[in-house]
Amino acid sequence: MRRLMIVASSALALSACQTVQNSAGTPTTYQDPATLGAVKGVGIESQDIVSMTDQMMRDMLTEPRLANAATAPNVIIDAEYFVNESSSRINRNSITDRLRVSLQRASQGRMNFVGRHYANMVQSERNLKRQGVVDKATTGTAAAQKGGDYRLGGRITSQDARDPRTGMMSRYTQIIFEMADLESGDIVWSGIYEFSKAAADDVIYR
Amino acid sequence: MGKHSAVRLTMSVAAAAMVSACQTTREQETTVKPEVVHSYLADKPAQLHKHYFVTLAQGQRNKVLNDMRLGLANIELGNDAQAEHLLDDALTQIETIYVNNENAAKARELFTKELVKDFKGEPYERAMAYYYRGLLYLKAGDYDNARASFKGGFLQDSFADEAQNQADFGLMPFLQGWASRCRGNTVTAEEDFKEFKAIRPGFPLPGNADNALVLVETGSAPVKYSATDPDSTKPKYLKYRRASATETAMVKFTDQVAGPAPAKGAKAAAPVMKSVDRAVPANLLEDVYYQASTRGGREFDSVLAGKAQFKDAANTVGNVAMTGALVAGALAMNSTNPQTQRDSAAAAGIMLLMAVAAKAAAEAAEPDADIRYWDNLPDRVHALTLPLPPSVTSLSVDLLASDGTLLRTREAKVTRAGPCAIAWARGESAVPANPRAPSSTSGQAMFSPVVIPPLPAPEPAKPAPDAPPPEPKS
Repeated sequence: MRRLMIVASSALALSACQTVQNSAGTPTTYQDPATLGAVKGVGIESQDIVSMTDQMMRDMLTEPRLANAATAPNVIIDAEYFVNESSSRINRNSITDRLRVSLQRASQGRMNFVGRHYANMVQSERNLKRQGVVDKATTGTAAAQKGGDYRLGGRITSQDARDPRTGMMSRYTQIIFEMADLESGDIVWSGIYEFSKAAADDVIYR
Repeated sequence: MGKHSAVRLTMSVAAAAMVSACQTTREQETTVKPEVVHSYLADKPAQLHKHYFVTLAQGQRNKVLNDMRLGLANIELGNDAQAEHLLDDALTQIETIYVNNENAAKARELFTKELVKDFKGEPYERAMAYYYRGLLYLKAGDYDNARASFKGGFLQDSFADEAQNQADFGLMPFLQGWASRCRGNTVTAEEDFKEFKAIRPGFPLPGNADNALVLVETGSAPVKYSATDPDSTKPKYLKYRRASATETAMVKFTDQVAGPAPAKGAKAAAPVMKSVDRAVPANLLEDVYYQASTRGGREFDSVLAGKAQFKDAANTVGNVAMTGALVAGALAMNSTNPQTQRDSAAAAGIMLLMAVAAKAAAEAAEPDADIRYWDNLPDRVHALTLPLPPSVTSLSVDLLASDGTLLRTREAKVTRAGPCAIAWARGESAVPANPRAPSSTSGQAMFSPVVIPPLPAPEPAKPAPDAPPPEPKS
């Protein structure tokens, strides 16, 4: 009995020394960007970007003015007019770049894509050609860089809510995409992607 | 006292000693191979090598804390790319939802300290991490992400215990409004400034012509300590004290203004510009100590209260058992009846063991709050907006005591990217004097010098297999 108590008291004492081993680390693994990752929050994550750009691409290809015009329209898709008003920090290019690349591959020539974000690079080469510093290459010269018929605009907004009592936080994120006619200002296509996420941190962080 | 009693006592004392001597391995700094250290430090600023080395040695538990300290220090040193990387890293951790986390679960246990958890900071510290990341976005002219950062910081303040202190971090909506304004988004800017005005009705909003934001940070970070208020109905174990006296800031620069118009009838000529010295006071925009100390009780304080109650109860049991053991021991020694002596001695032994067990349990309970803190934060943030001509590339900032005495003068470089300019100055250096953050490791290690291990000397080159053997010495 006495021994048992001594052992018990020592065990109790030692329990104060419980250690948490330093993690041995996790080897690098490839993850599917279209699925929920290992690190999760309530903001915009890779699976959201993949899912939304796929959906927008499919939807845009069903708009006849964009994807079934007699003459393939010149389209500009970049982040210049894609505004982030949400509480998620994000590189807007990651959305517009994926959308442009996916569209270009899927549209198979039904739309022309103007790289306005490369305008300086193109102008620089044009100048060199015209100054005779370099030759005229093989595809011939153009009077000017291409203008756009349509350009992508959009806005990311969010609505956050927190419950101090339970520590629950939720974020509704809405992303709208609009294709504007660069002559008339008509919005010829629009799409919306929205999601809401909620989570509560461990009580130790509340 | 018999031989067996002495053995028991020795074992008990040993058990108690084990309790007092122990500490969790998570608190300890790990040994890192010199090659790894030097490779890691190769692209880091030399002035911060010891700080970076500590980051490496302290590992994941203090990663966010060290990233935030180093991020801020790098901003002051002008290493914006490093600062962006560090603060992004910290914010990724802060935004990660900890669910079923092993270390968080450990910290809730009775016999484990709160500080074994991964540091994510208290709400005011998290908010300030967003603030500094937002400033870097402003400097880079990325106004969307600047606003998102400030908004993220504002959200961190929404968990205050008392409703009147929830979401009152006025610094954030002001800067949200400024970022929206710089982006040209007037609707959002108006909404942000409206939100700000509800918090700080007296603070002047930017004028129509203002194109520069000046931020001046004064004082030292609020200091955390662990204590409880016995008279309080709500448990509150994490407390703060202010570390700095009140300071104000006066911003000075030389403006270029058009001289007097030429007299009527005189030939039209280019306007003559003349230099005018200006001095504009910066207004107090945020009191970081106030934000830290008005958060109220944390949910986790209830867990600490449970630990503290256990500690008190176990101590009381230990005291009672110890008294009983003494009484029984005295009875055993004073009695002339051998049977009474034996019974009393046995009772004394059992009660002594109970006392030791209870005391050991009390000693092992860990009700102290985690008092690691971001020590290079300021005490207050002052701000002003003004129309600044492109010719002004730096400002002089006088830091004054509350009676107007000049304490020191700092230079604030004006950075322009996009339509807005930003200038940032600190009263006190943002490079922490101690490479280790307060309470970031065990007591003894906190005060040991930080020594970067030297690279091992290269091994002498081995002779080629076909080389002739060395000639014997004569």
